[in-house]
Amino acid sequence: MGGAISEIAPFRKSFNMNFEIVWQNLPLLAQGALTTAKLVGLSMLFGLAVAVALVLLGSMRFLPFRIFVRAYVILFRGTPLLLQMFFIYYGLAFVPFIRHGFLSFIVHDATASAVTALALNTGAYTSEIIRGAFLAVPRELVEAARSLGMKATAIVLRVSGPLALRYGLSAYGNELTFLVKSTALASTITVLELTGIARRLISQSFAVVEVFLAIGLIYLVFNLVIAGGVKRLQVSLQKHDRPI
Amino acid sequence: MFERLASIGFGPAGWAPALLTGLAMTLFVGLLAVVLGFSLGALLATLYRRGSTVTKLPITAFVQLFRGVPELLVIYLVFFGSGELMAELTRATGGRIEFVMSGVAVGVVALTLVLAAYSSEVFRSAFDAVPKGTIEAAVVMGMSRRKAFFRVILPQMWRYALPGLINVAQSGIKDTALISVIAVTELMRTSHVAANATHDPFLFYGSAAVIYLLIGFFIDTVGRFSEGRIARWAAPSRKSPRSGKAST
Repeated sequence: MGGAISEIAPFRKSFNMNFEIVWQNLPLLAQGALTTAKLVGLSMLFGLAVAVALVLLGSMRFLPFRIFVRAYVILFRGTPLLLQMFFIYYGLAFVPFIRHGFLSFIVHDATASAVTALALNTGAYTSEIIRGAFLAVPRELVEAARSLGMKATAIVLRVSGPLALRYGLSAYGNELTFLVKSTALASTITVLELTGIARRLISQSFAVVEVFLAIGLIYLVFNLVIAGGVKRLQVSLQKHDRPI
Repeated sequence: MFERLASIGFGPAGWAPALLTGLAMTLFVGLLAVVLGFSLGALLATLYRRGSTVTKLPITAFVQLFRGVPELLVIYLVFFGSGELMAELTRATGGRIEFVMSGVAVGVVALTLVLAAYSSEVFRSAFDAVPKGTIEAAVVMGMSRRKAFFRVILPQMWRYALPGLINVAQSGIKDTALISVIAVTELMRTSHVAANATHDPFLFYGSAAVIYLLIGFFIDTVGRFSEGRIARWAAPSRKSPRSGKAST
């Protein structure tokens, strides 16, 4: 029996947490967090632009535009993001026009590839959020505005837009937390962000759980910051509603 | 043109058999992870509901962590963690039994954890959506807890849980693509290898995309069909969870 216990002893020992590897590599983790933040920020901005373009195209009378938007949304929401990213990073390099043309930065720079894929992907989801938010605006309000003689742009800017912003904000906050998680895929095309660094540290030190918890904590901070930001924005947009 | 078609056919230079094998792997891992993940999720939701504050804390921590962390990181956790664990187990037996965990098993475990975290939230909110009056009525009628759950709560819960579960299953199928990074030859990896080998990314990433879309369409159809059947007893979709807010 004694022998059996001494054989099992190292088994237990290895489950002692050892966060040394995390403390030693704090600068690396900070760098990874910065890269992740950069990916999130850029994809969010470009994704919003894609989403607005999609919503505008989708609201046009010209049928082919509407069909294009439907197809785009179905394609980007229905296929894995990894597939989209690989197609852009590895696949487009086979196309001479893109490889040598003005779009060459996409295939030559992994970060640009990642941001392109993330922006196109989150743009599809965000366009659906914006569309749904505008659909939720009571029709009577828009009719009233029109009957007062407001122009279409004025209605969007001053009546349906502000309301849609309030309706869609929490769904957009959710989409942003998904975007944060999605940036992890950039590590598969050699961008060294948080998950890529986690992988490297784990394979170097085999302190699996410690690194996972540390990196997980950073991701949770990202999500908390986004949730907090959305909350603050919501409160400030509902100022008129606050009891005195 | 014909060469291009041949590369995706069943001929000697064709990738169709490999793609179909990849598809089978994707479906196998996806289905297993969905079944296991939903079961674990239901278990977690039950434990949470019946539990004290002390048992609620670890469940909440688990759900928040695995929902907030990238799926890829979870895959790395299980991949490297299981390697360590298996090595320790082998050492513990003095090398008499060698424990190994295949990439497929790693993928199933990792996706199960993620799907459990998401589906437990779905189950929990579905339970909260069941009108409390019906539960009270069941208790007043003298039903035991068990009977009330299976006859009154569960039939109503399904209706609220199903749209959420369909969503989680859809993202679960898409997440199977991530296990290609630990060298499991599923659909994503096969199409990547084929695209590189034939220098025809449009054809192979394109076919993979079409296959993923078809799987998603299939899940959607099954979801719609079962939603219709489950909510048969309900008034025609006045308060259906799909339509969002109840109409005023």
